[in-house]
Amino acid sequence: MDDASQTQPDIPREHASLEKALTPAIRAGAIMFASGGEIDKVRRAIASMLRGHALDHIHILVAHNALMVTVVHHGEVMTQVQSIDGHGVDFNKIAAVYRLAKKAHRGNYPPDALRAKVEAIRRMGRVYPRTLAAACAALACGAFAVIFGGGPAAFLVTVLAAFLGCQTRFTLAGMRFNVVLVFGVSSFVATYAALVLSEFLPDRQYAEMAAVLFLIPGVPLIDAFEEIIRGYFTVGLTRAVMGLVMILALSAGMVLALVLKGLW
Amino acid sequence: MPGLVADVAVKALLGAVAATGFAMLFNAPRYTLVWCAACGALGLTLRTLAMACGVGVELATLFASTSVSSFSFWPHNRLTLPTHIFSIPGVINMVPGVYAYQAMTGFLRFVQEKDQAIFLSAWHDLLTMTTILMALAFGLVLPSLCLRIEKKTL
Repeated sequence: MDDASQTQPDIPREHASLEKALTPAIRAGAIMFASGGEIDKVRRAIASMLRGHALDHIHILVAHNALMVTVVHHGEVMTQVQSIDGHGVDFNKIAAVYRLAKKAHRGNYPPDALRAKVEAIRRMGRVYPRTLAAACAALACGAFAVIFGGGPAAFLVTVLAAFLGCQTRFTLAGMRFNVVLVFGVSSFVATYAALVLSEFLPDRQYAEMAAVLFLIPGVPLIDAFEEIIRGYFTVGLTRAVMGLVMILALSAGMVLALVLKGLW
Repeated sequence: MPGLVADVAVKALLGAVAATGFAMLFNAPRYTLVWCAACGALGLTLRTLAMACGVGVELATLFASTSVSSFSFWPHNRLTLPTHIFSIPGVINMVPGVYAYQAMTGFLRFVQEKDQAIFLSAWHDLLTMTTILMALAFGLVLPSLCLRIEKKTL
């Protein structure tokens, strides 16, 4: 009995230490991916976090709505799957995970401390209040109107319409409505407001086209392009389709506003 | 020449405003906003200058987005953050919104009026928009493909 316990590895303890190492890494990867992180960075962040544990092999599979990581250590194999519930854009979380992974890569972070840090990142809220973010996004849309060739009046109209649209987006997203519906309704509100406010403007088309630009899914589309170039076709194409569906919803909202206003 | 300088100055300011606004919408950390604004100003300035030199809008966009993406390696090294946090808000002000709008309204008009000239014009706008978007995305990815050799960790 004693001989057997000396020759065989301590499986439960080995298992627990692998689990302690793997859980924070896969959760951090899921946070990064769900916040708009590109897949190559997600894979490298997970690998960096697991680097200090002298693992024999690390295998990472990223799908659109789940992450799967398998690690091998002294013959013990462990696989964890982490579902990804929703996709959005949060650069603050990406930055936090990136820095944490860099630190974990350099020093030997204790697994419990790493887990606590990842949980803190998961609970992070918005850096800016919603109204401030909406106001700044609206100003950005106003700048777009001028870049496209509009004047000061088009700038003002765009800012007001985009602010309304952006607030609608935040409100509906906060109520957990489907993202396609959120995009369609927000686009409708912004376009309709721009059409009403720019009734007597000579350059009204600039306000109409710029008021919805806060809805452009730039991050998913650029991520998709990079992922396809790097050879991650499945995730890249899925993300590209997601971006195109958002653009379709945006267009549908605009068309509905134009039809209701009697312009089509 | 003074007209060009004024145009570039206005575009730089607007580019910085647009980039900062989008960075805040994307919830970028506060300390990155200045760098995002710099990327936005740089991108629109370079594109305006390139177009003033007679370069087409597609090539000018490629040049500008490649430059912004290369520039974003500076804050990436200083702040230890991914380059996309700076470069995506920096290039978003070059999104071809006018072509997208004209293409969409053109196709809608064709449905009503069934005029082939409108259809062709809408297709032209759509293709131009697609080319500019491809230039934007490719320019953004190109420096990281060239400068960062494939690595397994960060």
